[in-house]
Amino acid sequence: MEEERISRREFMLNLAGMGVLLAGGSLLPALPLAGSGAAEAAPARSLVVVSSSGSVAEKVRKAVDGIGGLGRFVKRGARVVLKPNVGWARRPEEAANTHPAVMTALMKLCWDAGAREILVYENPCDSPSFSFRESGIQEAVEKAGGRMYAANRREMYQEIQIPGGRILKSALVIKGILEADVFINVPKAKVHTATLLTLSLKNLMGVVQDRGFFHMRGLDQCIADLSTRIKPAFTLIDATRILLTRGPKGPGETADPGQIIASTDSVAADSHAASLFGLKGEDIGHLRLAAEAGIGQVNSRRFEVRRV
Amino acid sequence: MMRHLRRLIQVAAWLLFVFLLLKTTFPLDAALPVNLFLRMDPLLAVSTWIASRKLEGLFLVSLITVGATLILGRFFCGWICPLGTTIDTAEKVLPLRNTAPLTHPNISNVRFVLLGGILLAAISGSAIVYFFDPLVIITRGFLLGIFAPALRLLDFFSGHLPLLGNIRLTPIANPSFRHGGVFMLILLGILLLSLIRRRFWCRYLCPLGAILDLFARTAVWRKTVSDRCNACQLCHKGCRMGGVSCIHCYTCVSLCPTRAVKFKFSLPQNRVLDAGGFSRSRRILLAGLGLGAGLAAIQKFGVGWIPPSSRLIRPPNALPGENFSASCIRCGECMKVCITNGLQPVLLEGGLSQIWTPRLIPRKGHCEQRCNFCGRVCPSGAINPFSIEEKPRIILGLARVERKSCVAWSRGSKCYICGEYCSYSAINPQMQRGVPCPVVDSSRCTGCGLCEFGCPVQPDGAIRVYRNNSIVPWRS
Repeated sequence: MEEERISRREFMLNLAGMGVLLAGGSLLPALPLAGSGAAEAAPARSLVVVSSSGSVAEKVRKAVDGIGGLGRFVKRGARVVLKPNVGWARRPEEAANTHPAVMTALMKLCWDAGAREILVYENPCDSPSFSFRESGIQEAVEKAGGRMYAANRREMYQEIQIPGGRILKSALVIKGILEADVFINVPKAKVHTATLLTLSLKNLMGVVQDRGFFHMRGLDQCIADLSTRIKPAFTLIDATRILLTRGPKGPGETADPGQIIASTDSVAADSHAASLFGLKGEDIGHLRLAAEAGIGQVNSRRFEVRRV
Repeated sequence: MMRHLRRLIQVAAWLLFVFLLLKTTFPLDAALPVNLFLRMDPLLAVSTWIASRKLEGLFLVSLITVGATLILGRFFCGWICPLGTTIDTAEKVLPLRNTAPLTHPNISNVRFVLLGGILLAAISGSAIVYFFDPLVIITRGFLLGIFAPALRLLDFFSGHLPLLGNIRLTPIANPSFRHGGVFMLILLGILLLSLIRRRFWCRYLCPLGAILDLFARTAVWRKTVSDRCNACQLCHKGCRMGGVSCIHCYTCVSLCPTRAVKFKFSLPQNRVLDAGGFSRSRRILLAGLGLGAGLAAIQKFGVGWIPPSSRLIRPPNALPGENFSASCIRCGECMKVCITNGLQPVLLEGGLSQIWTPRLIPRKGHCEQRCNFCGRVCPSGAINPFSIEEKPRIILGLARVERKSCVAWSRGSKCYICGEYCSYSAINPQMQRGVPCPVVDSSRCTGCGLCEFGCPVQPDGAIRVYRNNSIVPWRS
């Protein structure tokens, strides 16, 4: 078991090294060399990796490898924090939450990359106990050796300032996410009545305690404002099965694009995911606003979609 | 020997009682039914059977207590009753002085008066047992009065002490219950009665003790005094029940210097001594009749009569109307187990007859779609058990959008939280200048209250659930 781990880790390191070489040869100009928080200034041309063959675990691995491998983000001894979408007491097949198999696969990659601990936070809209159980997430996270927290207590939040925010100037956000060495966003791709779609940026709204403020004061702008301050190392969108109607909770019609989408540019990843619903990134208000704020590329001509 | 065995069983029973109360929460997986102690109570059984005109099967467990009492006597109070154990423990701390019996002999009949009142009220169709039953008092006192603040305190420390890490004792963030302090004070009051006499409650007031006394009259396992007795009176002075009734604590056996006091199988001889002065039956009956009729009348027609509020929403699959208040024993189990903390005790908003019954307060917490815990823990059949599959057909009320305060309707804000939250697809968007505005589909709405819970309009929400008076609970 241990041997297998080491060999995989070496493999990952090799792969990351290759990535660096490739990037050096300007074959991958979009790939920023810095670690987490890479999307500080949106690169001219972002990379969105789409993986759609093999098992869910293989898809996750290929997608993450496609953006440079997890070793690029997760250093040995790192505290990794994941934010899936587990907003609802719905079962995995109902496509209202991130699929537990995606979490299992991603967590394995994190351990292989040498993570010290993996913490998972969510503040569900339904009862946390039922959301965590029905979604299968808690079981998956605990089986994979991580810890799952319901962020439903005031003391788990910390106030942050959002200097780049136009409406949202400050917010209470989950402390654990601020204290992470590596923060990875693991959203679900779904339709959403108020924002058309909920993808990476909308999923980040889940780290804020007072979400009512967003709705009362301007949902799209607040989501964009938050994305100027909360920046995951990368986003891994679960589009294996997507919810087409009655989003974000369902039950509704679903489709199975079978895709896992990875990118360090959340806006570009969301923009690509929008195409699965027959929409363009520009159709989504908060994506447009986030792109205007320089968070990422919403125009499909300005990011590269690589299928692996 | 028997004294130590008694203490051991007492502590074990108390710990089991508390353990089951603590397990009255998600995921509700205790091996024993969490409402076991309440169902063992023959007073609750008889009163509920009579008041509800229905032989609720859950209470058949109480026949075990009756059977054991018929043979062994009123041992329940000294060996099992968690309130009795709590009183015994409190008496170790309280400064006790007076051991002499109270001067007025009739006081020991109060418990029979209460018993008569409870049963007569039950015959008239009113349940008043929840005011006086010891197991209800301690269950409610612990669940609603003590646990919520205690868990919050422990939770606070577990969040701040590095040693405890993030161990959580309750899945609910900050559980709280309306006027929980009242339930704590009732419990405390009963404990403080011991300042007057030891086991004051058990001796003079407890109606469960009274009914057990009646069953114990034929018991064959009883206290006997042999010829070796030298009339030293030590047993009498040491009796925690003041000789009013025997709860088999075996203190007299261990105190007796001549070993004259023994428990053994024998036929009843001295009725008055053993059964606890059950005399003056006519006066008791009259007093009980008066009390029962009085309380029943107050419940039905008296000062507490207020028409039920349109916001008094019952738990899922609760019995309709009067049947509910006749069956509900106000133990607090459903409120403790409610995963969202939305079930809260009623005070007077439904009239005195509805006091301490559960109601859903959606602003506090909704009725979770895939939860059926309240039906599973209700000991009296007031909330019928139901399956998750039945839930969409179980109607609690109906939601209504107040368009004047709704920010989507009135201000064009992109707020559709109620529709996002709705578990039953009962809210549909109506587009107004590109903004989805919520419209309730009354054919799908169950009144679960999640929309009201999630509504960001302060303080009351712009979508509210109202009681649906025409509802008929779904029964399998």
